[in-house]
Amino acid sequence: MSITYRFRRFVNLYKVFIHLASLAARQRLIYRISGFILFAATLMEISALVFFWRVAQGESMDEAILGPQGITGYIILAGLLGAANIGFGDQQMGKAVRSGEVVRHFLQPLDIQMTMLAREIGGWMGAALLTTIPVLLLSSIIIGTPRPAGAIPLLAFIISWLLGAATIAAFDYCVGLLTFRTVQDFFISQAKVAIVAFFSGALIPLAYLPDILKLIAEFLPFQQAVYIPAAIYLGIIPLDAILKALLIQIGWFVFLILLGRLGWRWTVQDVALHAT
Amino acid sequence: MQPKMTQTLRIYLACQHLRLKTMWTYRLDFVIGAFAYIVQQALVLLFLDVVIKRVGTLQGWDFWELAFLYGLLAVPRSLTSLFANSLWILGLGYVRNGQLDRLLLRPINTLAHLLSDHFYPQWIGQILTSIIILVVAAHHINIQWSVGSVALLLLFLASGTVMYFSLLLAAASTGFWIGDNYSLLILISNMAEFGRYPISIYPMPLQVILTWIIPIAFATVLPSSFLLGNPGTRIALWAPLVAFLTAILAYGIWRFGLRYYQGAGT
Repeated sequence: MSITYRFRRFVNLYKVFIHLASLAARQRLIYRISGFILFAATLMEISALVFFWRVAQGESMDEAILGPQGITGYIILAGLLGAANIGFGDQQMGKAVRSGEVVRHFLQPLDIQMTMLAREIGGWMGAALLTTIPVLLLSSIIIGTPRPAGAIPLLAFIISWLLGAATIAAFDYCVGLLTFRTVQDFFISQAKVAIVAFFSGALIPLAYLPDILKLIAEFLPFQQAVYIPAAIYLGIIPLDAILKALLIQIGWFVFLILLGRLGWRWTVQDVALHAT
Repeated sequence: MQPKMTQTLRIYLACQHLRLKTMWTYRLDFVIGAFAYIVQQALVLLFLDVVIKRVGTLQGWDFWELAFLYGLLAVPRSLTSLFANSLWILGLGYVRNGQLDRLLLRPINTLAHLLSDHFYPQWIGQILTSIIILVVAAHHINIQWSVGSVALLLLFLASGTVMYFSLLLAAASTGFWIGDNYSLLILISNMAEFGRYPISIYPMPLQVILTWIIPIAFATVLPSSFLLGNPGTRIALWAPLVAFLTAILAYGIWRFGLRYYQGAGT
């Protein structure tokens, strides 16, 4: 096969995944009432955290940890990123396995991991348009926080947000592979969301954790989804360290993709398809 | 002819017994499911522990009092999840897919049948951990436990369960009109989460909503404040009445929605 042919094939495949992602995004946007209610639910969830932390922390600024906008700015942003990026994407695989739809993935010439990632990222984009961005704008207008630390941090934040969502989507895929071994995907998902939310910085600034938990959080990929984008946005990560933070995110994403590929190879060794 | 309540209860228990047997066939799965929720509960307590170690108290509430408050929310919530998980999928799974017609044709109360249709014993793991949290927290807080106060605690837990179930039922019943009401159920669930902390940390309008409109305060904060002997909390004794009224209202919305339902037409 010539290089041109391979290149064209790669671009066409890339277009397919973009199309799958846009379909997933549009599917989220179709049910607008549902989206508006989810908007209110997210607002409520974040408000509870903001009230809690305001009372717990007082109005202490703690700039080095929370940025110049204090606990309110951090918690709103972290809460939003948590609500947007941390979800139940691993249940995609569970539904596919239980319904038998996973057979389709064995037959079609599309990479299952990229297909699921595309769908999850597309869904994330739809949710971002319907919920995350409106809540962010609303709180910026009404409360005045959180504001980006500058134009470059804002641009870097968008890239970091996307990378964070992709990292968690890749992690969700790895967790989803467990569905081939157990039917308890719903409960595993619930535990996963709790663990990810805790160690991502969505509930509590990571710097507030005791040393042992901080160390655990450092070695897990979850802060890429919440703390890193929030820290870039709020200026906690200085300008000269942003590139390093983005490269680490890319590193985690690639690592989880490879882990997912290994996991898939191990999983399909024992799969029996019932032909009916 | 409407089936008698005892007959409905007998059929409901028989369905749950069958589901338990089904779940017990896959024991490892059951353990994984139960364990997953233990992890979730442990993280909630870890969060509280980390915060309280940093700040000392939350408006005068220390770690064990907050854990007790959490237990008062967690026990009713997990009991409701065990017996009423089907409510989460009433709109999407039953109304929109026409599966409700199947339930309407059977000689059993529709609500009871709906509740027995999905039963996940894995929630037993959450119930057990919630009870353990409540009991351990109760042991550490400043309450003189007697037969009377234990009976009062059980009454508050029962009221909390009825209240939480009623809120869920009322929200789920909107599925008759709007179909995909999953987001609304998430909204109600998130509102209930406000009861995890003392409501005095919220602004006054929100305190009013959480006390008189979505009366979560009667399930968690008011009972625990009363048991702790805080002044001005005798209103907590109204919890059973509030639970009863909430249940009547929720059941009324359910019946109204059921009358509105016209079937899938297939």
